[in-house]
Amino acid sequence: MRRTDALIAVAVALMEEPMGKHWGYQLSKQSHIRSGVLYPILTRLLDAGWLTDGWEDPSTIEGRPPRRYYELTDRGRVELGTLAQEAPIRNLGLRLGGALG
Amino acid sequence: MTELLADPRTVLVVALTFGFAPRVILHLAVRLYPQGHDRRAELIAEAEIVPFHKRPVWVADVLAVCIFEGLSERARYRRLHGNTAGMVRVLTLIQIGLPLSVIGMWVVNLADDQHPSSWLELCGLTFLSAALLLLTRSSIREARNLERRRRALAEDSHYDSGPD
Repeated sequence: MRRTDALIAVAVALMEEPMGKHWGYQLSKQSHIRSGVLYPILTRLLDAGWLTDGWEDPSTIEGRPPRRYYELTDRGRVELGTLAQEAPIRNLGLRLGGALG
Repeated sequence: MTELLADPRTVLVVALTFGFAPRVILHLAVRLYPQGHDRRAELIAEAEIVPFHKRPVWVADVLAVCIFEGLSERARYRRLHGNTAGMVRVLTLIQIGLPLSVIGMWVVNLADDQHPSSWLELCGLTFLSAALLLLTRSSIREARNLERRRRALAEDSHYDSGPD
């Protein structure tokens, strides 16, 4: 999978709670990635088998439709964990690159 | 400021910009995804969570996703679930009808003892028909292969697993 800055930001957001449920809009806020970029990334992660998805139980909510959630798979935790660890190094590299012109 | 808030036109514009319009646009945009696609229900449900004042921008963003992802998903869906049986039927009819028509023309020409130029035209037509027959034959084979692949891909995770 192509390692873009957006993918790394999503990986960092997902790895903040590796065993939890994640929601599209919440991930967008956490990673500061626009919805237009986030949803195609989520599709790619689902296709790669790094994420699984599910739906809220309609009996537990009221006044709104059930939302779709995403959970990391074991493989996803490994792969995205590695990617999230690279994030500070990559950011440092980008900053150094910018500073050096 | 209070005068502005009291103006019914301002209230109407605000309601349209932040309430009605984003909702309508979103409901239309998600229709770009094929029927039963999870993203349709997901985006409509997510819109409920987005704060009122952020909805126009969020919907504009999502609109781009719907156009690019939705249309490609629709094309993918057509490849997976389109009607090949109908196409095979039409192609089979061409395969039967075309040789029969060409044979018929040859019989009529032989019976009427036509001008040589007419024989030349008939030869050209026969040649074209043969080429077309080869093409339809390969198309039928391709359609049957597609149908086999479709059956293998029938368990597609992106479809019909949405909320009950």
